[in-house]
Amino acid sequence: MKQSKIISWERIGEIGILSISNDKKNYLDQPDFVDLVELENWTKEIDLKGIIIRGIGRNFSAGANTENLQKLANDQNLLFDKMNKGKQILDFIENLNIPVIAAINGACFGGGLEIALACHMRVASKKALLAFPEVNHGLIPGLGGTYRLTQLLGKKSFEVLLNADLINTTEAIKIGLIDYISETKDAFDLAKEKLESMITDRSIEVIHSAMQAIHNSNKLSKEDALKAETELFCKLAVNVKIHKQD
Amino acid sequence: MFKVLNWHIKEKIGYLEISNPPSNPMDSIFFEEFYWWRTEIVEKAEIDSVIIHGKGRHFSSGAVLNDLLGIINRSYEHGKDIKKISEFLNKNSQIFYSLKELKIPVIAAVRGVCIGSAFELALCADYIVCGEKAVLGLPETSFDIMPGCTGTYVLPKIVGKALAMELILTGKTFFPAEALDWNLIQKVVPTKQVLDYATNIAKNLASKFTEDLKLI
Repeated sequence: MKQSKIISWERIGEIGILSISNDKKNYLDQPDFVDLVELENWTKEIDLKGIIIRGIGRNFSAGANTENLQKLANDQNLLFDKMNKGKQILDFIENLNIPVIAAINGACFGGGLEIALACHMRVASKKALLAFPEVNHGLIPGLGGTYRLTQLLGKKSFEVLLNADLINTTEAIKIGLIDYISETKDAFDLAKEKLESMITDRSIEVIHSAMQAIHNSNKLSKEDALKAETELFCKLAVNVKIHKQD
Repeated sequence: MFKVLNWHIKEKIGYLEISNPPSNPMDSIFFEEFYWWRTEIVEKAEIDSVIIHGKGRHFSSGAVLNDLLGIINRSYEHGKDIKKISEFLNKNSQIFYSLKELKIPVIAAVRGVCIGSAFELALCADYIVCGEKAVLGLPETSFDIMPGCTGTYVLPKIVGKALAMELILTGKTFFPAEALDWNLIQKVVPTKQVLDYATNIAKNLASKFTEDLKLI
C-alpha cells in the first residue's frame, strides 16, 4: 500500500483502490487532499483498468474540517493556491480514461461529495447521506462541485446547493445524484462488481478509447466529438486486424 | 431506385425501410444509399414526418464488421495512416446525426434486433417506439472495437456519463422496458403494433412539431 497525505493506494488485480482515511469522518484537512504527482504515478501503473474511491470505516468523507478551513482562510493566497490544487486533482480524476467509481458509505458531504462527483459513477450503501452543507457556513462548494452538480442534475442542482439538506439514497437515486444503491452494507462490493463488468475481457486500448470518446461528448463540439470518435474507432479497427493476422 | 432501402410515401409520411432481410445488416451499400436518401431525397419529398424501420422481424443488426475492418485496413496498409479512411467514415456519422437537422420529426419504429450502428441510427431519431421483444444495445466493445457512428456522443447526452459508460464498456444488450426507464426510448408497444403506433405518433407529432424538440 502506498500513501500520500490522507489517501492510500492499493491494487486488486486490474483495479486500483484510493482510500480516504482520516479519523472517523475522513475529513479533508486540506483542499489538496492528495499529492497530484503521486496520484498521476499511481494511475500510470501497468494494466490498470479502473479505480474505486472509498472511505475507510463507516464514512466516505464528511468534507472539509471547518476549523481548518478558517485557519487557512487567514492567508488568502495560500487558500487560493490550495483550492486550485484541489481543483486540479478532481479535474485529473474526472478526465481519467479508465472508469472511476465512488463507493459511498455513510457521510458524503461537501468536499467528499465533490470527490464523488468527479467520479464517473456513484454507488452508495442504503444508509449513505449526501449533502453540500457549504451554504450553512456562508460558503459554496469550491472545487468545481457547483459546475459538476449542475451538469449532472440540471435545475434540480439549485435545491441541493441552496437547501443544503441531507439527501438520503432514495432521493439521491431519484434525482440522479447516485447511480446505484448497494444491497450489502458496504458499497464497495457493488462498486467492484460494476467495475469488473466493465473491464473484464476489455483491452486497455478499448477502455481508453471508449472513455475518451465518452468524455469528448460534453467537452468538444458536436463536429469535433464525432470526428474524434471515428478516429478512435479506426485506430482500434486497425489493431483488430493486426491481432488476427498474428 | 435502391437495393437495400425502400422509400415510399403515404399520407405525407415518408417510410424508410431497411430492406436486406432477415437481419437487415448495414453494409457499404446501405451507407451509400442512406447518404443518397438523406442528401438528395428526403428534403425534397412532400412529407411532414419520417418513419425508419426494418423489413420483417428485425430493425437491423448494425454495421457489417468485416466490411468495415476490410475498408479500414486496406486504407491503412496503403498509407500507414488512418486519417483518410477516418475522414471518409466520418461522413456516416455526420449523415446519421443530420437526421436532427431535418425540420420534420423522425421516428424510429423498432422491432427485433437493433444493435450497434442500427441503434446509433435509432438514437439520432426524435422518437423511438419499440416492440416489447426488441433487443437493443451497443455491443462493439465485445468485438475489441467501440461504437463509431455517433453512439459515444449521443448516448451520454441522453442517459448521462455513468450509464453510457456502463452500456458501452459492458457491451450488454438490453430490452425496451429498461430502455424506457432510462428515457432512452419513448414507448413500448406489442410487436405487431409498432408500425401502426409509429404512424399515429408521426401524424400527431407532425401537427405539433417544433424544432425545439430536436434537443440534443
